[in-house]
Amino acid sequence: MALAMPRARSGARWRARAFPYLLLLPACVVLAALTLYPTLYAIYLSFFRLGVGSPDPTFIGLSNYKNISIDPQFWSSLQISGIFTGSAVIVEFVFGFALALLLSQRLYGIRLIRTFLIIPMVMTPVIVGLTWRMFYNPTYGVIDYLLNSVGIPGPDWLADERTALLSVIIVDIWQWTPFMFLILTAGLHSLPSELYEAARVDGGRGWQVFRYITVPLLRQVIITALVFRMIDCFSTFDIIYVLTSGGPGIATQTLVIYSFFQSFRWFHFGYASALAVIILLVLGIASFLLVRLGRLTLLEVE
Amino acid sequence: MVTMRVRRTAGMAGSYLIILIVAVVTLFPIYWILTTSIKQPNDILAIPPKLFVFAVTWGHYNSLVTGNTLGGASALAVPDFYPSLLNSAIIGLSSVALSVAIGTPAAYALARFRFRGKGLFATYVLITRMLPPLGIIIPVFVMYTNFGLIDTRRGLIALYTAFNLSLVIWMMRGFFQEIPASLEEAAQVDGSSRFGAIWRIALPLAAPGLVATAILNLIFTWNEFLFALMLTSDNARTAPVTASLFVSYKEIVWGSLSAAGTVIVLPILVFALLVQRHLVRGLTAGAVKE
Repeated sequence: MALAMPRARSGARWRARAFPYLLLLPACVVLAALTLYPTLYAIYLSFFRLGVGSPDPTFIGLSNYKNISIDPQFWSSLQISGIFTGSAVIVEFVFGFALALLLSQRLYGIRLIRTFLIIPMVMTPVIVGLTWRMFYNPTYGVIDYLLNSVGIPGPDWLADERTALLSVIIVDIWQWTPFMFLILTAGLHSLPSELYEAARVDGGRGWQVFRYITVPLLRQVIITALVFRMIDCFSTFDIIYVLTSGGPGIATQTLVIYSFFQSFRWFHFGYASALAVIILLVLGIASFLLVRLGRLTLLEVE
Repeated sequence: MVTMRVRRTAGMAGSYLIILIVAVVTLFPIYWILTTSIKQPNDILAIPPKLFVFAVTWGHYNSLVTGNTLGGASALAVPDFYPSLLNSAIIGLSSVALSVAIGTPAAYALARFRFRGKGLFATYVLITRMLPPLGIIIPVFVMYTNFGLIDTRRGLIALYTAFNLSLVIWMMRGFFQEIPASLEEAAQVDGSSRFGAIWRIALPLAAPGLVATAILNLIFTWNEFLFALMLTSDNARTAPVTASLFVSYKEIVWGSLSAAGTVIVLPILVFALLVQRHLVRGLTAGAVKE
């Protein structure tokens, strides 16, 4: 009995220590099988020639990456991704912030507007894209109808190389400005109102209060919003696929769309894997920099 | 004094004008799908657009079942819609149930215990939230071909379960942290087992959060496109992929397409309104709370 006690207690201690790992185990198995393993496999495949004409993987070292570095389509798609992500996220941020500040006044119907603004974000992107295809149509679309009725000749939005990218950006702005708005509204609500009163008593004017009180206090929230939106915007596939499929020509072919075509139109699995690795690297580096820049505590656990 | 009041009233009017414009721009696309789905074919393409006054028809919804479109487009122009809607429902519900069942215990561990590797695990889970589907679609495609999972519901369910875990784990971790640990400790002192304390104390208290998490997951899964497009064909195709096929046929049947779009989007909107308080939290994996 006296001997059995310590063993029982150490068994209990061992069980207590193992308990959290037991709770994590199923999640670890699923994540390892369907996220970690595919990621490592993509990196592995990027060193091989695989696909049409070479059904068995042939090791070719860094050749895929070398070829990518002199592939004009890669560079143009990277540039288009940059323009698409950069302009969409900036406009969404500015609109969202302006709207959040506007609606932080006491106005009637604010809750209703906030509810409306949920709708674009949750609407199935494929359906969003198809609906805007109707709007952009040069013969029966509402946009050109409105432009024509005020005397401006409406362009063939999606078929014209000069307007196609803009058209896709507009749809992204329509769908995701509410995201910026909601995050920044949540941030504004969390600010202590005494600070504002103090600033006003000290004679701070609207712009000064915004520049020296609101923005610095919202820094965390702003960076979080930008990181998430940037990453999701850079990874956009469905809207572009439905609206233009990267066309006309390669006018809206972002890196993600280009990598999709390399994968499933031309079946260059090895080459496309290298592109996928580059996408992962770009996203990883960009979000790391932003997180560092904003001294974000997002990743800290306790 | 008077000029100040005038200026303030003008400012308010300006604010309301902006709000009105935002409301119209936000709501117009959804209004347009709803009305297009019940317009006669020639009204759909009318210029000037028929905004409010038009003859109502339910024919486009029938066309989704029969394949016979209004206005005489060939039967081929409308792909099989309702089987894919059923696939979407089965795949969505199953993967959400699985990811909640698997993710909730992990979230509890992150919220309540200190252990080695905790930060690593939490960070890795967040990274999977950032992982673009296109980054891993080729390996998944190769794996699924080898295991015979292409064009099966099982295959998509497994994949969505994994991709939903980040949302479940980070959101539920937040909800568990809001519950005082002392409640479970008290139950354990009263003779409850550790599992008993979780099951009877923590879980019921976190139930509203659990429901919100599940609904958000369902919305994101329902809307997913790339994996469904590449990993399914006739057997397990989901509704958004079927909708995208309406366009690849020679003539676009806007009426039937809008009817399909309405059927896909409406349930999502209802669910979204139920969980609107938690939407931002869900989209940022729990990083921003409202």
